[in-house]
Amino acid sequence: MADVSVDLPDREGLFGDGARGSDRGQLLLVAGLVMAVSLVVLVVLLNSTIYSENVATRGIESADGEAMEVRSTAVGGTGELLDSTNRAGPSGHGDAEATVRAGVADLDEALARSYAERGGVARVELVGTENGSRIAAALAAADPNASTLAGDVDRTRGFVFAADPTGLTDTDAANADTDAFHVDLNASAGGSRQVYVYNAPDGNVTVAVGEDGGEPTVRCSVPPDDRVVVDFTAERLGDRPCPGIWSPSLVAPGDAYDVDLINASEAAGEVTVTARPRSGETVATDLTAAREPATYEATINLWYRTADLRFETAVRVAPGEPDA
Amino acid sequence: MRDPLGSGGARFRDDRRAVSVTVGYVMTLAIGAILLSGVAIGVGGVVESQTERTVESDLSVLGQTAAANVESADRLARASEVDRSTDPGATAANVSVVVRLPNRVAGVPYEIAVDDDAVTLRTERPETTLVIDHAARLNVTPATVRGGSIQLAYSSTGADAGNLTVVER
Repeated sequence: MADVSVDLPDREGLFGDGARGSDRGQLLLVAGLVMAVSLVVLVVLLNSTIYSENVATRGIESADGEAMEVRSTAVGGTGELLDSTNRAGPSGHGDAEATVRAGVADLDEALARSYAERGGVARVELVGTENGSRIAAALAAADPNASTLAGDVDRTRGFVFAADPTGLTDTDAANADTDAFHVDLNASAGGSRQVYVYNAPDGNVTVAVGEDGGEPTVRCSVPPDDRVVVDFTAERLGDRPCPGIWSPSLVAPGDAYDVDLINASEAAGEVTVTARPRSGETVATDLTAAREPATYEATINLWYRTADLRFETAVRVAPGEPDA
Repeated sequence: MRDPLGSGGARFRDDRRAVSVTVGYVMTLAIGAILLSGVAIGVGGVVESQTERTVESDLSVLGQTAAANVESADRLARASEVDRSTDPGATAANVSVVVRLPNRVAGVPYEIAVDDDAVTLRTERPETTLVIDHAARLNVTPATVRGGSIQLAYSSTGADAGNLTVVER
């Protein structure tokens, strides 16, 4: 049998003159070192790639979501507050403002608590309010031929007519100017727009729009229901959008305009509007019994902060105003 | 039967001709050096190519993150201007978004350039440039900053009013 045993090297072999042969091991050492360092670098690169791929597949978290949510909540909450304050029928403008101020303070507290739980600091503060009037009346209370719903105003919001389709006159666009109930938006600087509401020959509740007393154009129609709501400022008929009802020149006009009700006897239902007078605090109207003091708009300061985000702005809140 | 390790085999084992410690030593060193060089060159190439791929991949992810946050800051800035009041006592519109990014990608420093149209990330070694388009509608003041966390800011007042600005965090 072959002898495969190897004698252990003695001290002389390792460290003495005979150790010169072991210098060859340095090459292996260097090679091993290079390989080790390279492998470490590769591992680091691989780790970096895996991390990047992980981050990439996680999706990018949008920074603006919560701030938008805070703004939406604050504006929506303040808008609800304005409307509920006005609906409650405050005894005067001072009373209305005090209610709104207290409500915004409550909203601030609720928002702060809610967003503190998510690591954000939210704050809402009422800067001020603008006064106006809210008029809510049955159409039967208006003059059958012509009456001013809101005179000498420069802003209007939440202008809604809840129509009883059975009380609307039957006509068509060609005869609407003489037969149909309509709202006349009369600008003091010149120009007017008429919005007609009637039952068309096809049986649908129809809205048509005319300019300066000219023949109107049908904008939209819906099948009759118990109540059909025409929202003039939001430009909606029932549950459908009805663009083109409100005149763009009356969205934020520099001059005053009147909102008149014409041929009120040709329709049945209730009309509601909140308006801001061009001057003073009370809107001129022929329906004085239906007029109540109201807060037309509120201005709030809004702050929202997190570790990585700062959002500050001041917002004018007037829910139900027409869009530009 | 013939013994393979017979008298001939014994002679081969005892033969010391053409055997030199020096030659063997040099041969070993030369072969070792060649092998070592091959390993170093091969591994070096792999590391280099992997570094490039990693840098490109990382820049792509960071670029997308930066571009998304530029668009977020843009949306927030425009939201801050919707129905903004300028009444006395009303606060100015201020928006700031911090984007946390690493200082290096795969151990390589980089720089971030932002303008109206895109976010550009660049490294010198390896020379890599990545352009990620963004859809911000506001004007973005062109700026180039070192790689790392950045701050996107907007204000309705001041020298850069109405513009998105980018600064190092």
